Amino acid sequence: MKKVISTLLSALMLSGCVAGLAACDDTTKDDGIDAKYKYNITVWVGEGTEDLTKGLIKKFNDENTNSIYFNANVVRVTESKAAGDVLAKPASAPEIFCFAQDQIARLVNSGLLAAPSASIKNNIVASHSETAVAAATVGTTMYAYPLTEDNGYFLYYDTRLINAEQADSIETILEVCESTGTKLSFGLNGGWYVSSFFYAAGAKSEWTVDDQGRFTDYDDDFNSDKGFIAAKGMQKVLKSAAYSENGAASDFNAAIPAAAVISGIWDYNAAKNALSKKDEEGIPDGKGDYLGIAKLPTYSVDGETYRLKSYLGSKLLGVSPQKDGNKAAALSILAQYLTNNESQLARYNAVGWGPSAKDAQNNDDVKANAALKALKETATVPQGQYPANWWANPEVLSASLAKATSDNAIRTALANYEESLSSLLD
Amino acid sequence: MTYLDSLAYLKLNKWQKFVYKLQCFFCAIPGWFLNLFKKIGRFFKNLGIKIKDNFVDIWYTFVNGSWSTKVSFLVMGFGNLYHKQWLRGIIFLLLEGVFIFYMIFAGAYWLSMFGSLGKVQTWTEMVPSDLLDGELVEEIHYGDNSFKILLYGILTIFFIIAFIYTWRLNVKQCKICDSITRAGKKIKSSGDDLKSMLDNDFHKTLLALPVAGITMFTVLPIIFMILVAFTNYDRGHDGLMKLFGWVGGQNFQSVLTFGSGMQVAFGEILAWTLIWAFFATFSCYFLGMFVAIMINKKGIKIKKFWRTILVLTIAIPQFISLLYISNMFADNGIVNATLMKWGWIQSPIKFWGNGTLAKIMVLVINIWVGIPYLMLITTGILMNIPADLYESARIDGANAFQQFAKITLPYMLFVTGPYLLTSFVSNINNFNVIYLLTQGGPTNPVWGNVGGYVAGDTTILITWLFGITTGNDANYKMASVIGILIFVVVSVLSLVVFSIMPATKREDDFS
Amino acid sequence: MIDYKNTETEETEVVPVVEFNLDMEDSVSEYEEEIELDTADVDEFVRQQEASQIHHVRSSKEQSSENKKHGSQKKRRIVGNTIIHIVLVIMSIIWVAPFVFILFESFRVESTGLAGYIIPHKWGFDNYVRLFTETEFPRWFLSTFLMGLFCAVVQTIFILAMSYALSRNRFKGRKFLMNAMLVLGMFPGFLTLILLYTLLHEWGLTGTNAPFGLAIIYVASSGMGYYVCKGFFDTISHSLDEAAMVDGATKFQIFYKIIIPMSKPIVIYTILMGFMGPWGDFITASFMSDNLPQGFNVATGLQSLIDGQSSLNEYYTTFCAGGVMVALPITLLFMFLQKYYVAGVTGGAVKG
Repeated sequence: MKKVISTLLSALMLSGCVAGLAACDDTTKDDGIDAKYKYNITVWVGEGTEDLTKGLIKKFNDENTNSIYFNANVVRVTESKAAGDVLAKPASAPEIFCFAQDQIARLVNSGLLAAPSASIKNNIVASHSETAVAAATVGTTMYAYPLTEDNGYFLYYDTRLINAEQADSIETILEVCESTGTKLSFGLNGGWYVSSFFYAAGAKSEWTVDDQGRFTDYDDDFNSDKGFIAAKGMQKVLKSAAYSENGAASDFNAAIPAAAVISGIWDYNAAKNALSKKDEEGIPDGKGDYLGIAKLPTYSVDGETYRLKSYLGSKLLGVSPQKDGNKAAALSILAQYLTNNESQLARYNAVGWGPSAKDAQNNDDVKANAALKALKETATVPQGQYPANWWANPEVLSASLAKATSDNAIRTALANYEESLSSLLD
Repeated sequence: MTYLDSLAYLKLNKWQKFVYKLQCFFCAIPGWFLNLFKKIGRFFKNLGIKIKDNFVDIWYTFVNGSWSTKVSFLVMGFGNLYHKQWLRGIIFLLLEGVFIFYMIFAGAYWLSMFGSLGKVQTWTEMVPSDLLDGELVEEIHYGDNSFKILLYGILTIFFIIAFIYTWRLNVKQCKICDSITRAGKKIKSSGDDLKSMLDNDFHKTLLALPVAGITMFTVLPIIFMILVAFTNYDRGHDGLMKLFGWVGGQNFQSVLTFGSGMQVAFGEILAWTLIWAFFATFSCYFLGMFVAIMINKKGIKIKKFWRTILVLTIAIPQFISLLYISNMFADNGIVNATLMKWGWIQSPIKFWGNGTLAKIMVLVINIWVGIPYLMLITTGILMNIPADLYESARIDGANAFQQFAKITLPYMLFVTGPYLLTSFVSNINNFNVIYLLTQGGPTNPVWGNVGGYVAGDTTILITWLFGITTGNDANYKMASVIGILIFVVVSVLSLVVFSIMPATKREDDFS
Repeated sequence: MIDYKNTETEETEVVPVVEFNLDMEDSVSEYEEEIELDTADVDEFVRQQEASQIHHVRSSKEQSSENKKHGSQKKRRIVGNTIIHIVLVIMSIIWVAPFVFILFESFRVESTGLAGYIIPHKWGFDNYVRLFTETEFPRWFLSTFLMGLFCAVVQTIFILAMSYALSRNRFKGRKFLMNAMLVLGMFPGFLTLILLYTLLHEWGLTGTNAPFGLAIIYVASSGMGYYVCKGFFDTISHSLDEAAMVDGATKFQIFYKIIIPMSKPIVIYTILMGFMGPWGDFITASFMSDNLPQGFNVATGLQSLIDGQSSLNEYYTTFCAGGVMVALPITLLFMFLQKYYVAGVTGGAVKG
């Protein structure tokens, strides 16, 4: 026993020394750069874009050698998580962070975003698409820098099972899935996807937000005859044996594979890989030989058909407020650089993110991208601002509809949904 | 009910005995509460008397004390130093110095802000920047930080209490020194102090660090969170960017109206939490013990191997193994695919989609998680049962089950009784299994939406709280209120269990 | 808080020494030699113990002189053991299956995301190569390993100290302390995370230094987990302490020279649990790390690999490889310690 403990102890001490040494080489080295404005910063970016962002910042430094130099620690933090972390620990927020637009009102309300100055704002408004600018604006003030305009969803399908004509209607997709023992994978357990049915039927949920990021009013008619139609349509999917709520392209590979998946641009490569020709060893060629991409299908209720519509949202770049005005200015110049035309194209080429800059959108490669094309056709609802807790409501509504057996039950579920809205106002 | 004498009791058959015991149990419940209240009453009475006694004692120490004692009232440790107790004296003196230094340079500020939790708001100012050719940019000026004020305020109060206690100790020691000198005996030297640290006062040495750690990292945070329940700390008032302040009992009031159906949801979740904790604890306990007994049984080959296999499951971090298992049982997962291939089922079983099924699944998988741990613990204890107990039982003709019921189980219950209770408590707060398997789902359509925080059929209080504190709209004040409610429920429940559990009462009997 | 001053004022009752094993002496001398001879080789020892057990059974049989019953009992035992073996085999399969599946996933080469089958089409070490070259796994592994060692040592010391103090000493405030710790354990822990974060942030122990901060958090409150260990100490006879005290041993000596050596199984259990703690912790670790890869432990590090849909498709098998790598040291440690563990257990049983 003694031996064990003494071995452990000595190992601990030894390793303590090693750790101490290891910690040493983390100290930032002085690169001998002589710039007037030199800052150490932390940048949070979405998955897969760390190296790209590092390269862009290096390029920025090279182009601005006389005045600004950033020593940036680029860290990967998923967009969906970033805003939550900034809100939870404002004292250790990074200087620049990438986040999904649905968080912007909360961030503004907590004073955690520094608005770009007038000239930069004008540049952004001039060069970016209207939807993206609206996404970065709370009330009447622009608070963030649009990074992409690609947050939406469309249909991926397996061309061996479903043909283009069948892929146009959710009923036929379900039919094919049921008959072939495959699945339709659609994330109807979340508000973001649930809304597609309601917008298809002409219902809407729009929220008014003031300059401080407070929600002051809403215009929501999910609980209406239009909403009833949407609920009926959604029930068809929810109650089908072929329905799977995962909503990810990895479902093409599942033990009970999906024949159709409703997902977004982030799943493009996964879908391509999953639906490719495979060699004897099972390694896919990655060309997406069997992958079909289409706009969202229609559903029909009482003989009328309605086409599903997706939100169109943006990823945004936010800059934290700074104690030093010059640092704030330098950061906003960098943020503008990271979201400009060239940077967005570079990002598109590296990870396939759909640009929000108008020139980049008109690039031939971007225009030819099948996924972005499908997205553009089907993502026609600009995603406005919603209270953070709004998303729970459609989720519970969806759970109710999955169980509802009568029209009355549907009406009750919709009424419950409406009832819970007013508590979300600030 | 009427209580039977022992003769009458012995006449009952097994079933009647059981019913009788049960009756006794329930009839005793009001008694416990009565006792509890009596105890609380007595506690406060005693406290009052103690405080009074202390003041009287301090007064007499001062009046009757030697001059060194009187100086010690101001300069702590002087009495000890005077009596050549260098170690104690220097420690006292040092503590006083540190305390005064702290109070002047930090404590006073934190304490003065404690009442308001900050006055100066963080504000922004537009300043021209050279980088943008003199264009105006935002510059932020941080004001007070409510969070830190609350934290350091509590710490300062801690220090003050500790200081008063130390001061009192100092006075007491002077009194003892005085009386020893008066009796003409020798005063303990520093060397004696050091020696007794390893002997008579060894428990103090042992407890010092662990208790200090617990105070700093468990007691302080809990007090903090309890106080948060009386503030308006949430995402809208994070303390740094926007101050928060005291709101009194308002949160407790609004927790009842917090979202529609709050009470229903709380009741449902609480009920499932308790059911979950009960089954999770006892299923793992008995099955784990059973497995350990099986492996330990004589004639079982490769014991090492079986143990290692079980420990493999502990070795893989839960967030990997449970994620994998959760995927295995998904609608389109391997389990469903295999069952369908074998023709056992026609359409996939919704393991996670059906509330009741999901509840059973988490309990079963929790057994999978829990047995190895229990196996480890019980193996150690089982083998410690004197072998000749079994020997004599065998001679008396007891079969395996009787041996278990009469020897193994009582022994195990004795040794692990307190553990059972703590494991019940930790199961109430068992976040990992539920969260990693179901995230609390499937979402309940009836009471699943409480003020924007989703709850489901397998949601237990702790996973619900997790949603409230880390969700998009974290609401710390409500989380603390609910935390306190959980705490009250759990502690009342455990105290009841604790008081009827035999093991904790007869701590010394078994050795 | 606790007045240690007047330890003798209450609870001075002489601990009743109810001896379970008064008539153990004979059997003790019988086994003792064997243990001394061969503590390490447990199987050997167990076999010998079995042999002597059979001997005992036989001697009791002679008294009753019923040879038939002896035969049927033996048969029954064989049947019973066979059933148990079968049960153990089935259990092992259930328990080990997910582990084997994850192992298989980690060797899958043809694709890197989730897959609907278990056995890879193409086997290889690609995922392990990626784990060690493309990610910062070595760093996470090392820092977690160090945290584990630190916890194994310090937490064991804390728990042993706490258990011994509470099991063997009757001092003023003992009951209060025990009840307080019980009650404190009931407060939902992670509500306090935000506060712990702020504290550590003040001391500069978050972000890149998170492993240091985490080590402190893991260890600081570990004294509250004293239950199992104290329960074990409670079963060790007080007569040993008293005898040693008569011989002039200090309490420290009793603790160090008598109690600890007799508690091997629990000490090793505590070490094992202490070492394992940091490997699986996710929530605290991710809170303290500020998302910086330098501050991750293995759990947060591996989780960060699959955080987000496209990462999941890219790194899932690498993630599984990481899981296998994490399981390795713990399994090895257990296999290594089990020898001591079981030896300690059987030894303890005899010495009782």
